[in-house]
Amino acid sequence: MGACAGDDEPADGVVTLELFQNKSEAIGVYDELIAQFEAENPGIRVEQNNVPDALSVLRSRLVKNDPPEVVALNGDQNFRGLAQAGVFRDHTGAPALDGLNPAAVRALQDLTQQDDVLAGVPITLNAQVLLYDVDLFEQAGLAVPTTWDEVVATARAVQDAGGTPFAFTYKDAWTAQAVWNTITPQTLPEGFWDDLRAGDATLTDGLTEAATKMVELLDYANADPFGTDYNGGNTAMARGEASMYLQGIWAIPAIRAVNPDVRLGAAVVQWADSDEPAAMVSGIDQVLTTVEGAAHQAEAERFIAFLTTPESQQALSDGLAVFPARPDVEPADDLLAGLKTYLDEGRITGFPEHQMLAGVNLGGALQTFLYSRDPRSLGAQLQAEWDAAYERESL
Amino acid sequence: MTTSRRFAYTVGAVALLAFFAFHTLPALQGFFYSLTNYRGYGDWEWVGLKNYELLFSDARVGRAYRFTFGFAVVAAVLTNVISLALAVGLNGRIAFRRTLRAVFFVPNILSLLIVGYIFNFIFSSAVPQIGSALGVEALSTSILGNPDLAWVGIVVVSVWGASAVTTIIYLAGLQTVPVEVYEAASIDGATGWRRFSRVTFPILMPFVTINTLLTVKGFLMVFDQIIAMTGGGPGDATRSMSVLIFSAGFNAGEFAYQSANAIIFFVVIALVSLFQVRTMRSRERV
Repeated sequence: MGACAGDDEPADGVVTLELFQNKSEAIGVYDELIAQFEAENPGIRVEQNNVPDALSVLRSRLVKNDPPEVVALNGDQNFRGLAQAGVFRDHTGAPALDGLNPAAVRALQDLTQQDDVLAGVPITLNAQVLLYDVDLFEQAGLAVPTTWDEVVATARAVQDAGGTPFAFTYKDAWTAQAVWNTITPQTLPEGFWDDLRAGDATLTDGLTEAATKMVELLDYANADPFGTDYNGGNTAMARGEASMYLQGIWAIPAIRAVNPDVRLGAAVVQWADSDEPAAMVSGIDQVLTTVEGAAHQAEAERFIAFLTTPESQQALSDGLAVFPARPDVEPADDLLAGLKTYLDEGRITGFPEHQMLAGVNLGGALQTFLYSRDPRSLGAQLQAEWDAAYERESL
Repeated sequence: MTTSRRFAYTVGAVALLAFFAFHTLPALQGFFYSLTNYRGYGDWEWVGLKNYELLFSDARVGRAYRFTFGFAVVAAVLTNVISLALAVGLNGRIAFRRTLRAVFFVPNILSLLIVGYIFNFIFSSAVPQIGSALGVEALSTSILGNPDLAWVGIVVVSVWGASAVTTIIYLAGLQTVPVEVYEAASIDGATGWRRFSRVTFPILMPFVTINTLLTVKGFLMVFDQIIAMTGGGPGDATRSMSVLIFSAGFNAGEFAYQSANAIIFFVVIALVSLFQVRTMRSRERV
C-alpha cells in the first residue's frame, strides 16, 4: 500500500505519492493520467488508492497522523468540514490554477465559506439539471421548458397524452435532495444563506416556494415515486417510461448504460416566478488538494498541476462525463458541451445542500414533507434541526 | 496449584485480556470522547456533560427511541410466538423432520444485510408489480416508501432472520421435557392445547426467558436490515438508535455527541435486560 511509502526516501531518489480519491468511477481515468505523468516525471511515482467509505478512512488516517500526499474528493459538505478544520493547505496562487475557470475557483471558496483561503484546486465540475427524453418530446411536438410555467404546461401536455411526465425517485433520500437542489436556489432571496447564519432569515419562510413547487410536481409523478429508487428512475428514463427527470449529470452515463440508444436532452430552468435568465446549479465534482503536514509537497503540487493541463482536462471530462474546470476544453459529449456555456459565462450557483449544517437530516425531512404534501412542514422541520445542529456544533 | 488449574487461569486471563482490549477499552474511549466536542478529526476541547445535556432536548433521539422500542417489542413477540409454534411442529412426529429442521435454520446462515437487499427488491419491485397486476390498490406501491408502513417491512425481515436461532433454542428446550411427564399428563386426560399450556410451556419457561432476552436485546440494536432496506427513512420513520448513532456520528461530524448518545443507550439496554431477567426469573418458579 502507498500509505506508508511517502515517509521513507528510497535510495534511488524516486518519490512515491499516494493519490487518495473517493470516486470509484474515476479509477480507470486516473490510472491512465498517472501513467502519462510518471512517463514525464521519472523521479515521481503515484499510487492510486480508492477505498469504500473513503471519508471515514481519510478521517481515521488524519487522526493517526498518516495523511496521503494527494487527496481527491467531491466538493460537498464533508469537504467543507475538513477544509474549515484547517486540514488542507492553502492553494491561493498555485500554478495548477493557471487557465482554470475563475467561476470554478469561486465555487470552491463559496463551498468552504473561506474568502482568504483556497482549500484546493477544482479539476472537474458537475451540474444539476432537467433531463428529458428527446424522442418523446419530438413525438409529442413539445418545446424544451425553461420556466416554471412551461415545465407545468409541458408536464400537463404529457399527462393528457397518457404519458408519465416525471420520474421521481423519493425512496432514496439523496435523490430527493437532488430534486430539491435543482429547484431551490432560484427561489431563494439574494444572500439567503448568509442571512440564515446571521439569524436574519429562517428556513421556515425561505423554503416555502420551492416546497410548494415540489409538491405540485408530485401530480405529474410516476406511479410510485416513494417506492422508486435511483436505479429505478434511471431505468425508467432509459426505457422511455418517463419524459423528464430532475437529476445530476452523473445520471447520464448510468441511463445510457441501461439503453445506449436513448437520446437525452438537458435544460436549465428558471424555477422562480421571474423573467431573469436562470443560473445552472453546479458543484465541484473533484477537488484536488494536499494535507497540511503531508510529505513531498512540491511533487504533489506538480501532479495536481498536471491534472489541470488541457490534455488531462479533456481526458477527465470525457472519461467521467463531467465538465472540465478549464474554459478552453470542450467536452466531447454534445449534451455537456451545450451546458458548458453556463460555466464559461460564470452563470452558476452552488448546491444549496452544501450550505446545510452536517447534523441536519435534509434527505429525511424532504421524504417526510413530500409524503405529507404539506409545504410549510419542510422549512419548519429543517429550521428546528438547524437550530439543534447549530447548538451542537458551537460546543 | 495443579496444572489443570494453572491452565484454567491462563485461558481465562487470555480471554479477559482480549475482552478488555476489544470491548472494554473502546467503551471507555467512547466515554472519554463523549466529554469532548471531538468531530472525529481535527482539534477538540473538553465540554464536560454538555453533550449529555443536549441529548435530552434532541427530537431525533426521542423519535429514534420510540421507533426502536416499538419495533423491538413487536418483533420480539412475533419472533417468539412463531418460533415456539415452529419448534413444537418440528418436534412432532412428522415426515422429513431432519430436513425441515435444516431448512428452517437457513435464515441464520445468510447475512442479514444481503437478506435485507433481497427483501428491499421484493417490497419495492415484486410486491407492487403483483399488486398492480391483481388490481389491489394497497399492494401496488412499495410499503418501504410509506413512512407509516415502512416499519412493517423491517419487522418482516427481522422476524424471518431471527426465528432460526430462536426456533433451535426452543427445540432444544422441548427435548428437556421428560417423556414421563407427558405420560402422566395423558393419564390425567390432558391433550392438545391443554397439554401444551399446562405441561410443556411451564417446563419451557427458562427457554422463553433466554429467548425473550436475546431477541429484545438483538432487536434494540437493529441496524443491518435497516441500512439495506430504508437507510432509516422515509424521513426518519425507521431510524433506530444504532442507525442514528452510526450515521450522525460518522457522517455528520457528531462523533463526540453520538458517543454520549451511545453511552446512554448502553445503560438503557443494560437496565432493560436486568429488568427482564428479574421479572421472568420470578415467573420461572411456577
